[in-house]
Amino acid sequence: MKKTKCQSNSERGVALVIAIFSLMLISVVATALILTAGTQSAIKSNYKSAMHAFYDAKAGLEEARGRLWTSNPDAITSCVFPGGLPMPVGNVCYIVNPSDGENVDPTDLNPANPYADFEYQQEWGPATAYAVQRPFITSKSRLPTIAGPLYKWVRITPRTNLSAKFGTDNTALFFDGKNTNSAGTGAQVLTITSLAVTPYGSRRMVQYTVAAGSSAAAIPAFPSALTLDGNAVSFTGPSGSGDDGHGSSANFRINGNDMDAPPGTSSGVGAIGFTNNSDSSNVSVAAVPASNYLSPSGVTAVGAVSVPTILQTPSSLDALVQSITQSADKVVDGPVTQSDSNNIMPPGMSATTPMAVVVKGDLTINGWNNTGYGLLLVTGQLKYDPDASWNGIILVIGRGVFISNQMGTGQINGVLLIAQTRDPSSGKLLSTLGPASFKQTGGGRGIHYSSKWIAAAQGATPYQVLSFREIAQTNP
Amino acid sequence: MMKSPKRGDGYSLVELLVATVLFTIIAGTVFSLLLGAQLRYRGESDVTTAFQQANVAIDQIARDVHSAGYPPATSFAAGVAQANPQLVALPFSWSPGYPNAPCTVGVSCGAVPGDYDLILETDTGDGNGVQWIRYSLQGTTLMRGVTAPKVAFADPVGSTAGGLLPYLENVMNQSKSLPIFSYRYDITNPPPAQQPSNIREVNILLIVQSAQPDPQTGQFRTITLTGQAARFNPNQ
Repeated sequence: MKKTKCQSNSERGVALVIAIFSLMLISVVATALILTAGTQSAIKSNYKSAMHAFYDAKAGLEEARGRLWTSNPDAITSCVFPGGLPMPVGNVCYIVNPSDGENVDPTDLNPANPYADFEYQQEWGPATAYAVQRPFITSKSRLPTIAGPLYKWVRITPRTNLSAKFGTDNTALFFDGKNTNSAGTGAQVLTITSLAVTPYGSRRMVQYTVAAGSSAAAIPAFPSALTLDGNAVSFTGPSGSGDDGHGSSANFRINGNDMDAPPGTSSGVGAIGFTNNSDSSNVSVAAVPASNYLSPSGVTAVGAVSVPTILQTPSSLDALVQSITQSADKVVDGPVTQSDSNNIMPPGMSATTPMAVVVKGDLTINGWNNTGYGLLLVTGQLKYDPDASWNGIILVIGRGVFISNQMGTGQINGVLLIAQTRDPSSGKLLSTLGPASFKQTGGGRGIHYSSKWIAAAQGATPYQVLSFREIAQTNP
Repeated sequence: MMKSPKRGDGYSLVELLVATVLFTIIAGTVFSLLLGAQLRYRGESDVTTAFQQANVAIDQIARDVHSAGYPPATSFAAGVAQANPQLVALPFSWSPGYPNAPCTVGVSCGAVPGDYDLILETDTGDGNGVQWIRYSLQGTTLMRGVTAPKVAFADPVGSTAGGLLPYLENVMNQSKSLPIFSYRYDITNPPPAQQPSNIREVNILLIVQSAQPDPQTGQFRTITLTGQAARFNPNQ
C-alpha cells in the first residue's frame, strides 16, 4: 500500500528521537570504555616509566664502572685519576648523557635545574671543596641511531669517612679485600652515583660503591716484594758473582724499597716474606748475601709476614684465581711458551694499558726480549727467562713453582706472590697451603717493589661492586 | 504563502500511545544498558584501584629489597662493625636471637622473616642512617613501618611494632594460605643456607581483593600480582 504524504510527515520526528537516543547510548558506553582504558593505560605508563628510570640509572652505574677499568678503550682515567692513583678527595668526575639539544649540568644548583646534583653536598658536606673535572665526560651509551638509556649524569667520587657516615672528616677510604679502612691499605673505594629522568618525569637515583678487583685490593697489602705464601716454602737465589755482560747473579736483588717513592723519602716493604714462622731458617739462610735483599729502614728484609685473609687458605686463593680468570683480558691454556716468535700476550698491552693475563697451566718465558704490563697469573709452573721484564703483579697460585736458570737483564717491577694450593700430581685442592717454591739460579735483576706498577696492575682488573643502594627521590 | 493547516496533520491518540510505548521501551532499554555499564564501570574501577595499589606496593618492596644491606660490614674497618652494629645494615633482620644468633628461616626464625613478615635494613640516604623497614600482614592489611635509626642489639620485631602503618588493604594471602614472601638463598658451604643473611631473592605474591563487591555479581573480585627482587649488596 502506498504511503500517504500525511503518514510520512508524522514519522520524521520519531526517527530523530531514536537516532538521538542511539547516539547517546553509544556515546555513554564509549566514554566509559575510554575512561577505563585511560586509567589502566596511565597506571601501566607510570609503572613502566618508573621501571625505565631505575634500569636507566643502573645502566649509568655500569657505564661508569666499566670505564674505570683502564683496559676499557673508553677509560676515563684522566678524569678520575688526573694525577694518578688515588683519586683526590674533593675531586668529582661526571659523565653526562644529554638528549638531543639538551644541556645537562649537575653542578648548576639552581632549583629550576631538573638535573642539579644536590646529593653530593648531602653526603660530602656543604663545605667540601668541589673540584670538578671539566669538560664533563660524554656518555658512550648513545649511538647515532639508538637513543640509549636515559640517565642524565653519573658522578664518580672518592668515598670518605664522612660520606660513609663513619666520621666527620673526608679521609679517603680503601678496601683491603675484606674490610674498608682509612689507612690507605688496598684499593681506593669510589662512589658512583647515577640519576635517570624519563620524559614522563620519573626520577631514580642509584649508587654503587666500588673498588678495584679483589686481586688488586689484596696485593698492595702484601708486606714484601716476594711473598712465599704457604708451609715449608723454599727459596733459592743466585750464588754466583761477576757480570758476563748478559746479566748475572751480581745484579740480582730483591728490593723492597719502593722505586716510586718521592725523592728524598723512603717507603716500601720487606724483600722476602714467608707466612709460616717455621720456614725462617731455610729462607733466611738461602737469602745470601744479605746485601742483595733490601728493605726500607726499620722493615725486616727477610722475615715472617702476615697476609690478608683472602690469601691465607687454598680455597680463598682458589676463589681469587677464579675471580681473576673471569675478568682477565686473556686466558691461555698451558703448557705454553712465551717468546719473541710466539707472543701470547694480548695486543695492545702497554705501559699505559696494562692487562690481566691468566695461564692455566705451565708458562715458560724463553727468549722474549720485551716487557709485560699488568697482572700475570700462572696456575702451573712459571719458568722465567730474565731476558724479559714484567711491570706489575705476578701471581703463581696453584702449583706454586717459580724457576729461573737463564741469564738476562730483565727485572720484575712490582710484586711476586707464590702459593701452592693444589696437589702437584693430582691437581686436587689442598686442605692447607703447600710448599711454594722460588728458585732463580741464573741472572736477571730480580724484583723491585713498585707502588706505581702495582697500582697500574690494579686497573687491569674490573672494579668490583662493594655495595648498592637507591636514594629516594621526591618524584619517583 | 503560508500553507493552511489541514484536519489530518496532527497525531491521533493511538499514534501518541504507540509512540509513548515505543519511547518507553527504547528508553528503558537504553537506561538498563546504561545502568549495566555504570555498574560495570564501578566494578572495574574498584579492581583498577586495587591493582594500582598492589602495583605500588610491589614496586616499593622491590626497591627496599634492592637496597637491603646497605652499608655492609665491609664498608667499615675490621672490628668496627662488631663494635657499632647500628652503623651496619644486615640485609634482613630476624627474631629471636638477633643479631648474634642466626636462625634458620621456617625453622627457628619464628615469624620474621617469614611468609607474611619481613624486616630489612638499609640506609635510604634521608639522613637517618640505617633504618629498619618492616612489612607485616595483619589480618587483611599489609602494614609498613620505617624505624629510624636502627638500635644496636635491640630486637627488631619489638622495635618496629609500634611504627607500623596500614600500607595495603584487603590482602587475602593469609586466608588463601599463600605466602606474600618466599625466599631464595645463596649457596653456602657448609650448609644450611636458609639463614636471613643468605637471602638473595625475595619473591613477592600479593592477592588483593577489591574494596567493594562487584555490583553486578555481588562477589568480591581478586587480583594476583607477583614480583621478584634481588638483593644487590654482599653477604655479611
